[in-house]
Amino acid sequence: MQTVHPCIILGSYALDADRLPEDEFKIRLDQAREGMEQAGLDALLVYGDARDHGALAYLTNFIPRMRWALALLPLRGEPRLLCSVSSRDVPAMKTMTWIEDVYSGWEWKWFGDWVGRVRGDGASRFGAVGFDLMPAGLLGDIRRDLGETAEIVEAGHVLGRSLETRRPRELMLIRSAAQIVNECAAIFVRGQRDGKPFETAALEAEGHARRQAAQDVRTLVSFDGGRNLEPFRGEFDATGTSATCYIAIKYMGFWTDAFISVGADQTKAIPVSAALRSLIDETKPGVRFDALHSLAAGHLGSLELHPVIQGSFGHAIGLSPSVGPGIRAGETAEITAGAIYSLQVGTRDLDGGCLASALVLARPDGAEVLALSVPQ
Amino acid sequence: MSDTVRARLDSTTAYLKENGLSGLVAASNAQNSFLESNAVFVLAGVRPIAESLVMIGKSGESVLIISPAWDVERASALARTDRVVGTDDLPSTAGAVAAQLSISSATAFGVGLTQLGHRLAGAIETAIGGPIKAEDNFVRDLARIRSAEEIALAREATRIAEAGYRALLETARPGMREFELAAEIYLKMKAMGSEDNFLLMSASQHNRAVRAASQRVLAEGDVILAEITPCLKGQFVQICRTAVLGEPSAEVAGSFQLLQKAMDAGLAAASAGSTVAGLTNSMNRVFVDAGYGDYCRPPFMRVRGHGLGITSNRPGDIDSKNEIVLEEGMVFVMHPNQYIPKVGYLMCGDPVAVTQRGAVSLATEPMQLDRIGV
Repeated sequence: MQTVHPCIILGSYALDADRLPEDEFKIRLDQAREGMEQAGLDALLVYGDARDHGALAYLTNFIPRMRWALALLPLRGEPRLLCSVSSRDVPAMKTMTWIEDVYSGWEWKWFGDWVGRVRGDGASRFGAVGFDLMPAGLLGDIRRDLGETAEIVEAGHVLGRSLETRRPRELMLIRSAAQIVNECAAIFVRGQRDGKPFETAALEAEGHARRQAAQDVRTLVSFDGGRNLEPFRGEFDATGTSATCYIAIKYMGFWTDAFISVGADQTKAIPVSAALRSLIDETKPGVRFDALHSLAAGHLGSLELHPVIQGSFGHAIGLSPSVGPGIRAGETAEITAGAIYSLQVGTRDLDGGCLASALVLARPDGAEVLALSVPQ
Repeated sequence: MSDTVRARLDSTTAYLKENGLSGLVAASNAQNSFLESNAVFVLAGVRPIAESLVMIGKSGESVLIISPAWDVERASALARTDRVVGTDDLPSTAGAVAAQLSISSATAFGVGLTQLGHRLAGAIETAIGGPIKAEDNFVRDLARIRSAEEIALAREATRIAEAGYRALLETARPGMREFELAAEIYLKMKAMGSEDNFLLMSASQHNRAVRAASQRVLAEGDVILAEITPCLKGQFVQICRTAVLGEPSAEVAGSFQLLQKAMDAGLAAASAGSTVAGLTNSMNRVFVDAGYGDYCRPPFMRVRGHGLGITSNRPGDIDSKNEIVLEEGMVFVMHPNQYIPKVGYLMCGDPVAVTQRGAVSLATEPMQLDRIGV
């Protein structure tokens, strides 16, 4: 779900070595290096920016708060991290990653220095992850410094399913995140029932998450009974008998989200709830996305799909707000055991809309519901 | 903001005619930097959720192409362009709109395309017919002078920033974690209407720089640094403040006076017609004279201030290499923040507007070293 991106990501991002010890990252890097070896790569260059940094965060724990970062991971030897910050800010960046070799990306010599070292060791084939997001200027600098004889190949595949399926320590963090999003949904519902303005209720929900050390909180609110969702307006006087809100929370790197509808009319709420229930019931490893889509769409019948879900009844969620393809018509991807999915259903007409969601873990025997928001 | 945006659209049309250009393709990567122009906001009055474009043909017709498509109703209500189109396929829609407006890649210019992911930027250029000459400074220059509406918003945003700082002074206490304090400051300002905030807030007994809030627990004697930067309807402002949890030492108090002196020197030097380099040197001179000349460079400081997005980052970074001439109506933050070896990093700064009477702080409350009782 896309929301307005803030100018800087607030919240506490320092590496918590108790909950994510360095050996967790060693396991992840070893897996990546296996993939690199199989793909014949000498090094991996992993790019991420403030908006999208799933692979970068997975391998380094580093999340760019405002600009970009580039992890330089040789097949053998120590990794280096370049952050787009002033050298004044590098010590603070070091608290966010297990990598010790951290430099300002504004001093490009640190890239050239690393290239000289690995090229001297014979490296010639570089895997690129996240490069589609990279502005052309930076890409040009990288190509220039690697030299004409170096090969850069797309290498997102070397991480395999690791960005989708969750390891035990990750699951623990996601359960904490899911608890926060459940609490936030309850706060929004209570605020609406107490007659509070939409944005007041949403801000109270956001405040709860931020006080629990959420690293990022995004909200969208409806001012027209759920027909449209909008970014923050700062209009704290709008109220109504029905309310809809979207809230997304990042906690310890992991995203969770929820659509919350209160007071929607039953002609929408009943089929939306039924569609969501069917999705939860059928989210099992091996089930194809198009089959799930067909099932949920059947419950909605001729009702219009809410445009904010963009034709998809959900997707995997993790270090990025959306991981992999959506649960949409014609999509042949399958539910993967160990992955977390944000299931989303919604409809609207000229009078308003209704949305619902669930956060589920795909277990071998079916879906475990971690967070649930059905129409109230 | 309708008059301001419309005037900038008209100026752009005039520029196209004067230079025989077929059109402008202005892009936003939807990352709202407090240091940078958002070309789509400047030319349409809409802060987009995802990558979006404004295209203007030589006839003056303007089109906002907004993504995601579901955001089109909001965008249509806000936009000052002639038309608004919602899309989930930016390149193909850009190609179609370029054809409608007779924009040719060979005779058009682009703003902000260089900030998009190269894959998307390349697809947009291909859809329009080929590479487009980048003139990324165009919108920065176009919006460099704040309109009366924008200056009024900047004043209101400064009032919000000061309320945020008061929340810090009222809330901070030993035992509290930095992120908890940052949350209270942020929420206070959002409740007053601020849609975005570049907020750095951190504490230490000896700060090296300001940084984002962490899990660190506040303790008596901590020097709390706050870089509070709310955005109100597209106008970022920034105040930089320092407070001590408990009684400030004489050394901290004395060093802070040095920053205040540098701020005064900057305000005195920043008049229309003077250069940014000149005002920077005026501030630096205070530190040089006090024996800290070697510390007037990273990592001991970054710059002495900067322009403020998301309309225009002009006059740019306040540093000694910037020869941009200040003009009446420019708004920027002036902050002689400095690392002092004995006491650590200290912060002091206000948003200023260049007026006929010289540079004027937009702040209404005194910029002082504050003491928080424990």
